[in-house]
Amino acid sequence: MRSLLAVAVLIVSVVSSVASAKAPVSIENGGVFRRKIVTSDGVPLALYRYVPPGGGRELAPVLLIPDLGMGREVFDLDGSGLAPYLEAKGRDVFVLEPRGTGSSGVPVNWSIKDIIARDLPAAVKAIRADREGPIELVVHGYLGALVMVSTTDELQAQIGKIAALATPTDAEVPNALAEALLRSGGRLSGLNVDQESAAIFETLFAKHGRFAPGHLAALRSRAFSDLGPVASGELLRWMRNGDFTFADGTTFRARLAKYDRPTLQLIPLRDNWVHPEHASRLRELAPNAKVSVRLLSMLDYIAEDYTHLSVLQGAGASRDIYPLLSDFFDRPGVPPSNTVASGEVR
Amino acid sequence: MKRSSSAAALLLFGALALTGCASWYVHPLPTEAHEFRARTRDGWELAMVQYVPKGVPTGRPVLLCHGISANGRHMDLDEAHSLARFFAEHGREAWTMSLRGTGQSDRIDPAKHRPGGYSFDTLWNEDTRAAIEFVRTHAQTPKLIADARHDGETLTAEQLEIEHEPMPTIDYVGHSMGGMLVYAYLSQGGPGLHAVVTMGSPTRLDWGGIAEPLLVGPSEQFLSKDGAIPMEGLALFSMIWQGRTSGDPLERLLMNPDNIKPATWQRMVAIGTGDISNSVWLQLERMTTSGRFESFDGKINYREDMSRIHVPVLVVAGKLDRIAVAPAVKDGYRALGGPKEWFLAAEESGFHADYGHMDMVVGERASKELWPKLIDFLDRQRAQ
Repeated sequence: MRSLLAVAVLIVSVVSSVASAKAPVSIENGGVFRRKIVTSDGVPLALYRYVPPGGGRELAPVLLIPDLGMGREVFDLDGSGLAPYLEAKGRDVFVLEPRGTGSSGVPVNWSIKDIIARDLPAAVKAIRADREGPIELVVHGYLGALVMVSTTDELQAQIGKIAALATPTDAEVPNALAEALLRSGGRLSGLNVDQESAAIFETLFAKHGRFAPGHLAALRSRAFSDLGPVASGELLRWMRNGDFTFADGTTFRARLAKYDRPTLQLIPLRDNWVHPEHASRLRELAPNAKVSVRLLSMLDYIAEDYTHLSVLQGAGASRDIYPLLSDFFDRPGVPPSNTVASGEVR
Repeated sequence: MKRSSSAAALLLFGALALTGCASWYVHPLPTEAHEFRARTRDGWELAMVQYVPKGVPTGRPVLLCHGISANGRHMDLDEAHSLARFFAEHGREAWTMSLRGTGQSDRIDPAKHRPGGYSFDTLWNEDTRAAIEFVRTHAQTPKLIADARHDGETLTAEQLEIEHEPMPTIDYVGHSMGGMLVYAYLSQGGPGLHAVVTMGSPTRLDWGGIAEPLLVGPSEQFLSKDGAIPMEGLALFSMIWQGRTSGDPLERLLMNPDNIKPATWQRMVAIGTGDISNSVWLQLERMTTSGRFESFDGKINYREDMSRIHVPVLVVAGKLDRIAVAPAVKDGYRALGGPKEWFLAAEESGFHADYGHMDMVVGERASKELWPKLIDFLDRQRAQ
């Protein structure tokens, strides 16, 4: 009797699992999906998709790209962050984890140049397979600045508006701590091993930021990956030389001069990883772009002066920061892609 | 009649209270300080205070200039908060000045041919110029060095050079608008300076803040060009809450409470505040919308002309300066055409706390953390 019951349970569970496996996944019902995409050099990348109920197809999709060495958690830490916020606002949201971070592949000696030349085109191609029209971008930090100027080359004519958070235009070594970290190979995951390294982590990314209980520790332990020797060397060279050379030989500065995307730039005052004074010249260096700059300071009666991490995951970000981005994307009257003349953009 | 008597009594009481209030906070100048009056070309007298170093001067005299809504006491608030005394203790003859309409300098008085309506342009072209020339002609440094030489002391090349210059060039330290003034002065070919330090001196003010119009307005429609905003009186009225509330607008704007004790802050507000000429205010207000650092009539682009400055400049910004934010100060640094250095007063630079706007001149640890960097920079500009 007991054996018969066991067999019956087995049959029922097998049938039900087969049924659920065959049931089509309905994106229209909303939810978070992770998809593996593969770059032209064979690196698997994690691309997350947050689909709002109804599919969010009436609005342009938004692709969120974290800073170097940071994973999806900066945009979604256990359901809290910009990705779910924009999803709740009806946006079809994508989050890319570039090579070397999160659930994506970590090729030996991976390079920042490959993120721009291979990862971004792969992510945009994957999004465009399902969504037509321009993609809006939210970019963060050093990688964010490089992604911005990729709209003049790798991502040309694919991108609408860009919200840029703490993106440097004049990269410099911000402080001795950052320099030491990059000189030793950019071991960002190592900033979680003891109190001393945790203090370095806090100084660089979060000091004086306001976080919900447990959030900072969770970010420190889960959101960061090592840069590796090549990428950390590239970043340090950029900081020291003030310019970055891409795989095709073009430079950050030269591309910035051609940059023309409508941009909202938010500059956190207390960012010790990308100093505000290193991020402040977008208006001058990109004269073809329509740029709105907002320096984040408590003078404006916001929750804090904001740091590199709290601008995305701070306790006040959902009130102070996310609505600025959402409103920027919702604002009408901005041309759909950089196929239009710069004169029209302005 | 009865009502007007009561009002008069109330006003009298208020005036007495204010006077008493201010005097409560005043620390007298030290005995080594000597007061002078410099005269501008347009007939205003400026209060100047000289602090002669003990021993042989080790370098050039230093002129210290305060910012907007301030006066010379910012540079010598009391014994524990005095950039002037710091320089004198480190071998430099220091001079403080009060710009027209502030401190002990002449006030607006049309009857005495001192009309209101002076702008930022007047301040650098008249007051900065007059103060620099006055220090160059009245400094004791050359004589003190000559005396030391007669006494057989061994002198450095720098000291010998200073002694033999007929009118020695001097060093200059400007805080906030005091730094902007020297930028404008030097950009238009102003003479007499050897090396300069600016602290919290912005050259653009358009950073998208929702509070910016509130900070620098009221707008032109509310202010006549000829008047002045009575900041001294407002400061005294505000003394009842200064330093006693956390996170108030003035605190957010001007300082980091981790760097300035409430008593210091109260003293600074009580005796270091100065009235603001409406035209100066309006000129700065325009900077928040135009993003330009230019003359009142728009004909001189100071920022562009700063490329002509070849005097060495150390530019200091406070990480937590919310009025002259680091990008605004760095903008000036980038515009300079000559030798220059940048320093960020911040925890990440090894300081106890991030520096706010006023922390650089009256911060509790400024004499240990920041000011040595100023004198080090000025000393490094000595004759080779």
